[in-house]
Amino acid sequence: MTPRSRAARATVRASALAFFAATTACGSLLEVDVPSRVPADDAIVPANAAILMNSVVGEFECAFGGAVVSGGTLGDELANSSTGNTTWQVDRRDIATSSTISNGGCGGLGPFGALNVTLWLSGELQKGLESWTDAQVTNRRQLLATNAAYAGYALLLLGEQMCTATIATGPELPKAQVWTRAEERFTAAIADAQASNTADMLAMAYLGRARARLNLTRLAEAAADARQVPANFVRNATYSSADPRRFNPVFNNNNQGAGLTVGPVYRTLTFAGVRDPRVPVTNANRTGANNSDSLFVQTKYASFAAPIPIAKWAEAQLIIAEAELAAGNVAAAVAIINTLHARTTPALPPFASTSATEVRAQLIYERRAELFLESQHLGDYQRLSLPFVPATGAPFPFGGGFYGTNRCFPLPDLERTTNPNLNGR
Amino acid sequence: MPRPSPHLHVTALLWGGGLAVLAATAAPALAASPAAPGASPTVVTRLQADSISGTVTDTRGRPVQGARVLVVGTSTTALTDPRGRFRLTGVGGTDRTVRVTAIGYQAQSRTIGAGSATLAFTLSELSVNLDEVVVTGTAGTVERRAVGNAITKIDARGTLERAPVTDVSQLMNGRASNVVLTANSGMAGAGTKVNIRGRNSLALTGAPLVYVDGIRMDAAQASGPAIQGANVVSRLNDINPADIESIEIIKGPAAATLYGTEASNGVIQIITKSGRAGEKARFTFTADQGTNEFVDPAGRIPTNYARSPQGQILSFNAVENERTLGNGIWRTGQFQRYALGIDGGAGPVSYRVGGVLQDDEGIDLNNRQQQSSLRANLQFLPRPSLTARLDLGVVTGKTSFAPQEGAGAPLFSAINANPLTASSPSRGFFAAPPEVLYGVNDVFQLLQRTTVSAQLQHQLGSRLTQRLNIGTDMVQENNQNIVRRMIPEQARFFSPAVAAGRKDVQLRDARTNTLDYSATYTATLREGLTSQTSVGAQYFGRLTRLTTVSGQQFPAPGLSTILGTSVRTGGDDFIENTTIGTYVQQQLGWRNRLFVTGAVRVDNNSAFGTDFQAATYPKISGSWVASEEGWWKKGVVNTFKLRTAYGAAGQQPDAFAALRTLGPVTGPGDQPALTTQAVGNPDLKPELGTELELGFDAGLFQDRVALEFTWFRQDRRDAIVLAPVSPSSGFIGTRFTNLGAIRNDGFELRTTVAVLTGERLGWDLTATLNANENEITDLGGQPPIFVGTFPRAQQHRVGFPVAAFFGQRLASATLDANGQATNLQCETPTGPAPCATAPLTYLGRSTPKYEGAVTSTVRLGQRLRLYTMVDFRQGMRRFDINLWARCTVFRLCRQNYYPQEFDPRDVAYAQRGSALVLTSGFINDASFAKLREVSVSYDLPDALARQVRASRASLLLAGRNLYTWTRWSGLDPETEQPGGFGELTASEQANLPLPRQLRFSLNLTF
Repeated sequence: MTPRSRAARATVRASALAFFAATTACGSLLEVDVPSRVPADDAIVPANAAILMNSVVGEFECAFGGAVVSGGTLGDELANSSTGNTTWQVDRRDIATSSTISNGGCGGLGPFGALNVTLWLSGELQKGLESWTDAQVTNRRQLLATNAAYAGYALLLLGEQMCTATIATGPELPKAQVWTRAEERFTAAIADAQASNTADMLAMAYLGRARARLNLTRLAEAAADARQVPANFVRNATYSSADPRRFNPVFNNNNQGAGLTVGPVYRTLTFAGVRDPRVPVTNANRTGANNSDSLFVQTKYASFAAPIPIAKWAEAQLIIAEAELAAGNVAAAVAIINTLHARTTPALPPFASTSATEVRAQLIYERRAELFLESQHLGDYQRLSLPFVPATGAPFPFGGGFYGTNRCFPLPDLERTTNPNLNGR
Repeated sequence: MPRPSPHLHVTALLWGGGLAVLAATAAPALAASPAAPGASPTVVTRLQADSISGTVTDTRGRPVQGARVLVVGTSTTALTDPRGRFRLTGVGGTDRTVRVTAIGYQAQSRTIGAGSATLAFTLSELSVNLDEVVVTGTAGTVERRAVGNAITKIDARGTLERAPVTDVSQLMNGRASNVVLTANSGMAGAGTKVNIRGRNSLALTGAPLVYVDGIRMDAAQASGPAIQGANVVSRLNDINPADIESIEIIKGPAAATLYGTEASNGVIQIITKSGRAGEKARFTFTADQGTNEFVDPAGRIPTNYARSPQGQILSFNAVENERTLGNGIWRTGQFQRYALGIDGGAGPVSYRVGGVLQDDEGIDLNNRQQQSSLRANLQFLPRPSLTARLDLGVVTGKTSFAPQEGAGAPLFSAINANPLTASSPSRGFFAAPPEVLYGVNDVFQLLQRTTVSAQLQHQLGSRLTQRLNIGTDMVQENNQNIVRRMIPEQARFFSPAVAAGRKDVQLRDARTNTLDYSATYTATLREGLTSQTSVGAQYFGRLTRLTTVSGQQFPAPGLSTILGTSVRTGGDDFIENTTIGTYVQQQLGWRNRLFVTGAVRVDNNSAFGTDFQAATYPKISGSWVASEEGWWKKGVVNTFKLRTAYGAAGQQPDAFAALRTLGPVTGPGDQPALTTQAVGNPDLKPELGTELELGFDAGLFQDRVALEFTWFRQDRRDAIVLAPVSPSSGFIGTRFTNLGAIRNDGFELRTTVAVLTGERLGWDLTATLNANENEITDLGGQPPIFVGTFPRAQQHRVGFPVAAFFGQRLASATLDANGQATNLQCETPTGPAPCATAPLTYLGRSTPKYEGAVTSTVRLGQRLRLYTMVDFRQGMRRFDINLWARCTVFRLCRQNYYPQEFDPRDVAYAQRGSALVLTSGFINDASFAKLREVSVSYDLPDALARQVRASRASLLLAGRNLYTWTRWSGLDPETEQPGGFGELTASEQANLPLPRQLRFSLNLTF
């Protein structure tokens, strides 16, 4: 063999070896880093319990803010001033089930998706906390209470805002069943809060259960829970100016973005000729983002970081008043109304009436004013069959069409086609 | 040991350095060849002493520039200069075959004896050049005759001499069959989307792979700063056409099998210019001047109507009003480009360095692209059997954009101008007058791009060729979108959030790495039967780092940094994707006219699901040059090649689509938290595209007429669907799932006719006609999937084309006394029915059914050429969102106020269309034909050129986008700003139309 042919063979062999090495070294080369994503299975571990709790609360607060805005728009607290056709649909009360409105996550217009994200995270955390030990997780019982209370509120809002709902790809549930599930979660939260001596969660869970029972028209039980709420209690959803995801959505969409304006009913809400200080609204003297509708801005939430009450003592008092009125105790209901009037700054004149009908109307007003932009009004809109404002059939001022009849968000087609418990595969 | 053959007929071409190729018709060993590796120093000295020089001209005596001249059996090669001259040095041996190839000409070989020589080649022009070398992905030479699939090759050098071409997209447009380029915008610096042979994917990109000189490049089609939610820059256009020798387009799975995963949308191979061995330095200089113009804005921006509070109907045209006031909304932008190139070679080294400076002003006042690029290659032949090549490309620049589409855009504000506010400070514009919009927005991209590659080609004897390509493409984008804090005169037009200003910065650092080894072993199995065995292994890695920083609310005017904002957020991401693949290919050739090729490729990719192992792609093809059979009577048809190919290739899913993940977010107390991110799919695998194509290449009337025909049928299986996830699952959005199937078929017809070939008058005509049928055949039982900007308007539905249009179409309507449309009857499959209950009906496709081009080159004498291109697309619709918004949302259309003048159905659309159901009045035919390119080029007499010490000088006067024939209701049927659903959206919403471009060029060679 000549040197030339040896070199040739050596080269061929080296090439073959290199080729073989290249083709067999695939495994390690295919491993890639994913530093910005957390595989779900790696995240649900005892060491992350506090972070997961913070995640549940944060996700709820975002969903809650969305519910305040979407419920306020479908109700009459807010009105469209944007060029976005999803906002028109909600404000116009003719939400197409094929639209993506009910499918938005945090920050979207529509409660369904975002609240279910909260429920998924809460469900995973609950499973974890129930299987982990106290040694593994500090304040485990307290976390269970908090987790259950926030899950209860997520279910509560889901029942109030949706016409029907599904949870975790389960069957379609009517409102009452959703509220019953909320009640169960609040009951669990109460037990865990009592066991862990967590006062604020205990009050929040009692008030949440009172609201669920109010929706279920079990007024006496609702009032009994509401009476467990200590004076001046408030549990807020917190917001922050540090991250747009954490912005107060009312301030962001109304005062800053100008895509929503305060609804006509609330622009000059008065009691006995006195402007109600609980509904602070001013005329911005300009048009909204659609360059068409006048912009009225609320000042109840004056910054991106302004908190929104999830549950507060005044709400408990109004539940008690409603139960008292239903029980025929008109004077007790009036007394509660006046207690609330005395707390405003400046104080509102006292209300006086012995007529159950008048007191009922005043209670509706009180709830409208006291709970302005706190996610309560859409529930009242349905529970109390409040009239549509503007009336059904009236022309929609921007974007065409006419006002419709939606009082709640319909279950989206998307859920029906993708949920295996419905028609989906 | 076999004795070396005295007559070696090996063709070795280094085609622009991209993929070196090699083949042999007779293949004895070169062990004792004087030019072989391992030759004695004495022989080497002798080799360097000889040279071969000469000229290459066509049959009319005109010099052929860019022809490749090589010594067969070695890597010694040279390119001809503008005068057709070449010089080869370091040539040894006694019986040497010198071969000349050039695009469009018949290859020619000549065998000479020892010593230096001077040769004169006269090449015959060819319409069908079966000896042309093409890129196939293997290491060996493959001539067109041996390839079973259609290949489009664009001669960039020749095109630039006659056509007004500014970027790569323009270079390809109309010159490649069934390659549809859709402009993202008419802005300077905006790119195009590229689709080859129709839409093949339901959820993934339709973009082809792009290689430059053998390495993959980042060719992101929607890059750059977000402009009203869209990104309009295409990285494909970073390569300056002046640096390109040719572009080859491999169209589908049948041809792209060896490229594997990601190649099912086709492959674009860009081959850059290279140096000339043995030639002294040659300088080329090109200066371009031109304009970009918005043609007839007053006629294209609609006149709007409104009713005054007094009941009077007012009309208003914003452009005309501004003209009356002496203002301009847009400008005629100036285009400048200066390109300088140096190439040459000495001994075993050849080189080329080219630099380009470009300054392109768009028609929007703050749209401007300033870019400079440098491209260099160095080729070194340490010995005749070994070639080393280094390539370096650097691009830097700044591109400033005007906001488009939304309320912050001058175009949107003009289209939706309101008569009622004509006398207000907004002067009728929707949001604010143009000077405010231009003044408060600053949107730009800073680019730094470096591409480095090296190629080694080694020829071991006459039988084995090895090639190693290694390279990296590094893109650094700094995308900024700034809305300045406004002074009161500006702020009055905007919401407080907008007026407070904001700044978004995105840094995108993308690196694409290529390591590609391939080898081809060639053998003669028996008399007339040749074998080519190729193997290869490739590694491709893509690493993308994204850093995003945003700030809102500048506390005072004048601040423009993120630190100057009150609310700051930031984040970063790192995306890595790796492909590893190998292939084996076997080709058998019979008497150099019948070829059968079989191959298989196996790929793995980091994005595949954990439950999926590897993708395997087979291929088989055949070609038969029937006209070279002895029995062929060369009458009318003098050249005829039949070809067929079947192959598969893949399309990989997104990088992390298989993972079920949570994502980090800010939680209460600004503390860390997690939220659900992606539901993931561990079974995810690549889409599998298979393709069968049949066709022929024919030369008629002694090659005066060339005819290429290809029929193809593509089937995409396991098509990845963005299947919506149940909202109650806790995961918002969609999940990539292999559910769908798509069928795509069509044909491509191309003919080139040398109508006149006289000395004084020549006329060449080229026409292409391409058709594409497209149908979704399976969605895995999923309901229709909504795509596009608006739900329901575009859908994926089984039995219909991808992303087809659906909506209600009115059969009849009547007007009542108040001008309200009533009695609305919609078309249904069973006849008209009340629209309240009528289903959505199919309205049409969103991609063209037919497209093509006609080009004509008339030559007067030897120096003057008149060139024209008309291209067309037929059979597609688009959603005219401008019209929809004006009529149904803003109620500015004439039919809103003068309903009696219109068909009641048009009135009904305007009155009832806002709910996006009754939409067919706005989903309109977007077919068009455009007078795309017209030019006059003139080669100055040599005497005149010499007066400026140039060896050659030429002038070009040209226009682009000169006229459009269309029934499209909007501004431009062609531009398509990438929307939220990327490439599938087919709509116009205040997209800036393509400008009319005029160009004047001076080309000098020294």
